[in-house]
Amino acid sequence: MSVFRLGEKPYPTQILQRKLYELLLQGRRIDGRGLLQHRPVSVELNVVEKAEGSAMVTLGKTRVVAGVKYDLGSPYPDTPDKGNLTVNAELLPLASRTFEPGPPDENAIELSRFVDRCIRESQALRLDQLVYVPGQKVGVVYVDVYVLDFDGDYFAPAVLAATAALASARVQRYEVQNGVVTKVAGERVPLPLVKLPTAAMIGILRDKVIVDPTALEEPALDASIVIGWGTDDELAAIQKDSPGLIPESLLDEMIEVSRNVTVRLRRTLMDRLRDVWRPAEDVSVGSQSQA
Amino acid sequence: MEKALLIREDGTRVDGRKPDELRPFRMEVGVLENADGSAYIEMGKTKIYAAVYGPKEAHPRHIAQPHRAILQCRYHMATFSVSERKAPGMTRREHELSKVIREALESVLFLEEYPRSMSEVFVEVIQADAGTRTAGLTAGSLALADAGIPMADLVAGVAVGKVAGRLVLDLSEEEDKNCEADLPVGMAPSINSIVLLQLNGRLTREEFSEAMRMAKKGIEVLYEAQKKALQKRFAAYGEVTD
Amino acid sequence: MTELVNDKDFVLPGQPLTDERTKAGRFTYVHGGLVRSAVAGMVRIRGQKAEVIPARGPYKPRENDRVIGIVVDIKPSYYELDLGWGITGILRAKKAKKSGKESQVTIGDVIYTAIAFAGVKGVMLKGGKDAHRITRGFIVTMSPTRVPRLLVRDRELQETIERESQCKLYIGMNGYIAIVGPSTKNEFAAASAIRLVDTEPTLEGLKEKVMGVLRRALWEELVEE
Repeated sequence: MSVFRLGEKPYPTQILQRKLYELLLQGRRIDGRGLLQHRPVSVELNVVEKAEGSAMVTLGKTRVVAGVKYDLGSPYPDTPDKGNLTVNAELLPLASRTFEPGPPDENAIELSRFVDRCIRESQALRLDQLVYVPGQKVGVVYVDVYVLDFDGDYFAPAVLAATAALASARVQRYEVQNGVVTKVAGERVPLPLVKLPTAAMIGILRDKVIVDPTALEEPALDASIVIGWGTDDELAAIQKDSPGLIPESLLDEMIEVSRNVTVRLRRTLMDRLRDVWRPAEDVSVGSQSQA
Repeated sequence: MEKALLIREDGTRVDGRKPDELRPFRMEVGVLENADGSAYIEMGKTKIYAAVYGPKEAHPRHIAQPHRAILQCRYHMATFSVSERKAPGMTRREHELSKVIREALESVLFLEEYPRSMSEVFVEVIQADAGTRTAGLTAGSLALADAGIPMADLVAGVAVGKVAGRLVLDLSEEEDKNCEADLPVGMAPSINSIVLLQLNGRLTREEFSEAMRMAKKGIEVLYEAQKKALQKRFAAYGEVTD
Repeated sequence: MTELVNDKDFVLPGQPLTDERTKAGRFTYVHGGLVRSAVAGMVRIRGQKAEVIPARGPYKPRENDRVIGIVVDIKPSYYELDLGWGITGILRAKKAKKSGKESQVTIGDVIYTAIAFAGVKGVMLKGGKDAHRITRGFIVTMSPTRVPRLLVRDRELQETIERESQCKLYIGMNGYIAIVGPSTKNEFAAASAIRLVDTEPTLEGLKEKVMGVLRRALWEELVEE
């Protein structure tokens, strides 16, 4: 038995690691991108008419669809003065030969919870404005995210799709009179989304930091991390999503890089949402006349 | 209204701690008879047992990997560990935390040295009072070291939170419930590496850097305690075996 | 400066041992230019090597180690032996004899043999005259890191147990010990001695304790008869 080696990968991956690193030293990636360049993004809105809001996002060859549904419901006992947000994500078996049918596995659960945190922790969605009768009737926002095609990094497009679906959603308007909640026929209003959370996946290979790894690059990385920003200046969620060591000395750079990428993604999204969403808009879905 | 009480005027916290002070803690290694390795940790009112079984035959057999060992991890909370009884079985949160703890431990293990085998880490939270994932990680690492499974370093974890606009180390449950941000961090101190990192909540870039500095300080204290607990466990060891 | 610890020091995972990369030995690894321990155990510095002997831990197969395996599967040309710790050893079956007789080895058989090769291909066991089928007695297990206690000082403890209990010990480095004796009474006596070797914290005075346990075990039963 020889000396132990830390984080040693199987032989084919070692070769890939070497090649990849050689390229990184020249400032290039396998697909010709720069180290800190994400793949081309496209955001298509309202792809599902029956959903209150929806968006299809592609990031290179990774594709994610998100839909928003809205309903009336009871608040959680510990938050009587807030609406409910429920985020679910699934890695559909049609997206990759490695995804299997069945109940969400830990990867899907991790994705749901990360998307949830990006929206909830950033306080992008004003859940306090989704209250019709405190303690009794509140709005329930369902965000469902499906990964349709997987070529690495489903976190960033999932957050982008969820945000876009929320921003473009138009939900049933309700009125409250004497504690009775009634639909206002034919009227639809936007959700109180006040920020556009975006996220970036950052990988490291030795001393090099890269953005938005593909499925080919992912196994060769030493470690990866996903970082969500609620605004240009405020982090909302972080998840180290794979095993591996992150040298302390690289962390600052990773955060800085994620900030630049998420700012770019936010600009792209804002541009795309030009006609349907305005920043810090003070909207409310119900008649808040009693407040 | 509650938030105002969490940090007193003199900067101390609701339980009298300074912002960068850990809760009282205790660690012990080798606390279970049957496990190949085990550990117990208390951090404030958080109480956790961790056990390791393995390496052993991978089960089901088809998950065995010809070039490395499989590590499995289950983070689980007892039904009575929280104020409101938790339903038995695994919640989505527990699935997620099992994954991040497993991956944090995997980061320091030499899994390639035990091909085709499987090792299991069980983290059982007996009482939860915030910081269970990081305390579970700290205990899990001790249990692995106790089992003699080769690893690059012990790992320890702690959370830094933002409470009433201030950064504080090692949140208690009261603080956790009212915090603006919660940053659990796990590190391998001897090799200056981060093995677990999550953030829930809003932090600026500068706050994040400061929070990481506080976490590192706390982790170094826990790391020293881990080493002492292991030295105590193996106090009698030191014979000539050749 | 070279060594950062002394010979026989107790070290923990991650602890630096020396700054000379060439000295990295068993249960060590190199990080940041330093040779570090990968386990809790005792450092041994022998000339050009710094290695660590784990205080506890799983068995790690090494060439020429004597091991005991239990037959768990029989294939057309080889047997699979469970060596514990998730390790399966492969033992080639002898070429089919002209007589056409079925092999005598069956599932559950205990084989005392040695490791021919351990690596990416798996663990190959030595066949032929190196492999013995153990058909009597029984097996006890002990921590693989404690097995060397039986063998140090020219097998002092092994011989003590064998002499006093009149049993033959087949010692597998994987922590499986087969005990074959003239009677169950003798075998149980030997088993309790091995248990003591496994659980006592130190080797100091262990021989006397082992003798005590053996004599008590053999003697008490004598009185009962």
